[in-house]
Amino acid sequence: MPRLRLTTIHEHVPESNIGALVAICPGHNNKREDMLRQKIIEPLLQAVSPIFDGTIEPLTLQLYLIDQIKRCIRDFSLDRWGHDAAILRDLERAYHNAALAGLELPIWPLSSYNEVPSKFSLDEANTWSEALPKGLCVSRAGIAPKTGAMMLSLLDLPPSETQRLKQFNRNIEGLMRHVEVRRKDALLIVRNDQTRAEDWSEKHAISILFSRWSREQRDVRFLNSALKLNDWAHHTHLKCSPSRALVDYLLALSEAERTFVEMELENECA
Amino acid sequence: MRIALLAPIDNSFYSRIMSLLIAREEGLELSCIVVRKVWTWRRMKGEIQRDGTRLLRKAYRKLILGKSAYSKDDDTIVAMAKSIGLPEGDLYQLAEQLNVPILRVDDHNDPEAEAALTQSAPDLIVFTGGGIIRKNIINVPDIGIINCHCGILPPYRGMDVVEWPLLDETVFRAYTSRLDRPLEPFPLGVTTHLMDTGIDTGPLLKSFYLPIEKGDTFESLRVRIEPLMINAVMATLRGMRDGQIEPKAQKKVDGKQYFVMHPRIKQAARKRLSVLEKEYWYETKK
Repeated sequence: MPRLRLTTIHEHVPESNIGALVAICPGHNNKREDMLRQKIIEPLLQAVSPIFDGTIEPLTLQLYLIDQIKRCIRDFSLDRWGHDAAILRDLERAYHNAALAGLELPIWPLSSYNEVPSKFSLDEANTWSEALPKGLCVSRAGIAPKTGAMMLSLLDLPPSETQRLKQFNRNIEGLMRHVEVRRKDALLIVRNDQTRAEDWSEKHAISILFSRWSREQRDVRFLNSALKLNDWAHHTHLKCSPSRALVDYLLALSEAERTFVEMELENECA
Repeated sequence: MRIALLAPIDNSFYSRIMSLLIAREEGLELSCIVVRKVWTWRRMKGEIQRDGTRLLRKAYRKLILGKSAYSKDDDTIVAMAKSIGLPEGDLYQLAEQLNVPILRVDDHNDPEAEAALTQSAPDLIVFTGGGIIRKNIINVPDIGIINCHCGILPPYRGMDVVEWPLLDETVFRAYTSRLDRPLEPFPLGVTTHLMDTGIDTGPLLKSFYLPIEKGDTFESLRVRIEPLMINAVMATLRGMRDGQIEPKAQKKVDGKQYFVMHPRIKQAARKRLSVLEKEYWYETKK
């Protein structure tokens, strides 16, 4: 049997690699160390957290959701956007979800748009999914065009469609893994001919898909990914005027809020 | 049985304790240690992207606080180090004392790591941290690479699996129910398994449960889980040496992969732990 003969590397490395800091926090019961930890390190880590993780305080998001829903309703009441029934349907859904999540909103002042059909029918979504290479909507290059909207339509698949349901499960797990691994770089669309706003709508559709699936399956992992997608999109919509993409974002936020409450994860509402 | 060890950094308590215990154990021979450099730019970029603030916290805890991050309780890894007489110093110094060859690499999958491990001809490799291991390294040992996963397998694969069982609705309801509470312990603990190219999907060796105690928080559970991991790996190595533990393949459908928890979900898990810790602890003590 071959015997290993390696050079033993010996370099003196102290117990800690940052000697200067250790020097001022040498023991567990040291008051200076506790002070350093509580007054400087912890607040510093809290402060840099949004930069590194892109996380947004839940209360900030909830207040934003309430304000923007009110703003969009006002704009629609004044007929500033023209009459787009699909946008109004989604705004109404966002309103309805936010109300179910316990957020305080005024009475819905517009007519109901609930009956307006979804963007794609189940048949169209089935055709889309059959055309996917190897049946997968996620690849190394990114996601297939229209993934969010089509997968949302596929949520209505009847339980008898076992093969299609299997493919749906594989794709939604793949989407979640893709979002969690690529994080902010996730959801690039392969062969993309969409506008930037449409790209955002696609991302919001996937967040909506995760929240609804999470609620349906009682699986918090999907809500976890939806919350991250919503946080990462926040800065884009912060100073955004009412638009299709904004309404999609509001719907994504409201779906996550509703899921949080319905899954009894103890929400603290604004 | 010849054992090689993969270590994440040179001052890792876990790696140092494991090295010492393996070297002292009858019937086990520590043949080689491969340790990663503390920092490489490529790795840091990837880890910041993946872990964000968690990485800063980890670096603060491991590189700055070191030993002082631990309380003086008996069930910490520091107390364990003291009780087994772990010498001061880093892994290089320990390797010298144990007369074991040690190699420093940028990444465990590097060709020089592969060559060194192949030359040391291990029956088993013990993985004590250091990123994803590729097929070229997995294929080196005769039996495989042992990893101790910080959760119960197969149901809980991936990240933050100390916290995730609390958010499994069925499990949480079952263990907080006053009627028909399951007889087996709450699914919290560690599992030794052989690594494959998937995430925690390799053949299972043995699970070790961690009982929830009154007043437990995720921080206290994580502190207690560290010595449990060491004991689990040692028990597994002894079991394999004595022919009492055999790897059992796990099915993909038996578990789910979990990812880093969003802070809001973690807060919900914390609240559930505070309920479980009261309900469950009292019942198990009866």
